[in-house]
Amino acid sequence: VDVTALPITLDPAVREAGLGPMLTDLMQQNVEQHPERRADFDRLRGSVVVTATDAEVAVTMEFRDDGLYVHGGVQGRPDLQISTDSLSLLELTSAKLRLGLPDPFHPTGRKVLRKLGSGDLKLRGRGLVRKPLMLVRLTKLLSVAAD
Amino acid sequence: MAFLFPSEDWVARYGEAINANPEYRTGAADWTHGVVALVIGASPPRLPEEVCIWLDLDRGVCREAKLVTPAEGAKAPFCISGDYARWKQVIGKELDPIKGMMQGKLKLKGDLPTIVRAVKAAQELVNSATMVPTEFFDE
Repeated sequence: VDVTALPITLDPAVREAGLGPMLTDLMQQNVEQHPERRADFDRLRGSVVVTATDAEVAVTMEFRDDGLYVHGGVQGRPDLQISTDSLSLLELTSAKLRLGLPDPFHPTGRKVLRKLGSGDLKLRGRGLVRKPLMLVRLTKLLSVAAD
Repeated sequence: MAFLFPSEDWVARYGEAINANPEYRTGAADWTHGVVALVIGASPPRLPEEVCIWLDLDRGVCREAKLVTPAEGAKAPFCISGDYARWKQVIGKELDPIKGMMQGKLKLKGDLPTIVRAVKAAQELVNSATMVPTEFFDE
């Protein structure tokens, strides 16, 4: 069994928009390069909406027992919502992490934290309080920062 | 003088524009991952076949910029593709390349973690095209 092959299903409309495939390809390729991150994927449960505000594109990622399902737009009541412009979204995935969150002692981590402080990057949702590990697992899955 | 997009002359000027772009030079200083191909979709009748621009990039420098066949272009480790109208928007500064990728107007192929780490460089690489005086065949 190839543990790096993630069970991901994208709605047909999502396949044509760039954001959904980009996020899922990033997860897939990250897990291929860091197979230990598969455990983070398997333990993730809940829904996350990611919005690229300038591109006016949003996807809802539903992490279920049997895999990840990606839908277009905002579906249901997400546990977590991440919204920022396209470039900042990619910079978020490049930020050096510490304990699964942007590292305040590294310039890339500080850049993300500054954007959070200024409101250029918005994180919200009940999952921040009720499922704190959700954000940690998601950032690890999407992180391309060098170890 | 303007150069017809996407002609050999235009591609030569594009290579010069990349090397003249200090933002690209700085952002791509660590880029050692090889060629990036830009694929422009066919737009009949004036552009009957897909066109591919081959950019041999290394540490912030464009060593070679040339037109290649789509088959050759497919060998590049990284590829950004879009139809003629989208590239025209990018060159005309009407479409930001990163935003275009998020909207699916430009498609990215290759190792995504590598290119995401170099996202500013990728943006500047494409933005360098806006610095070339360009003439479009449909204007």
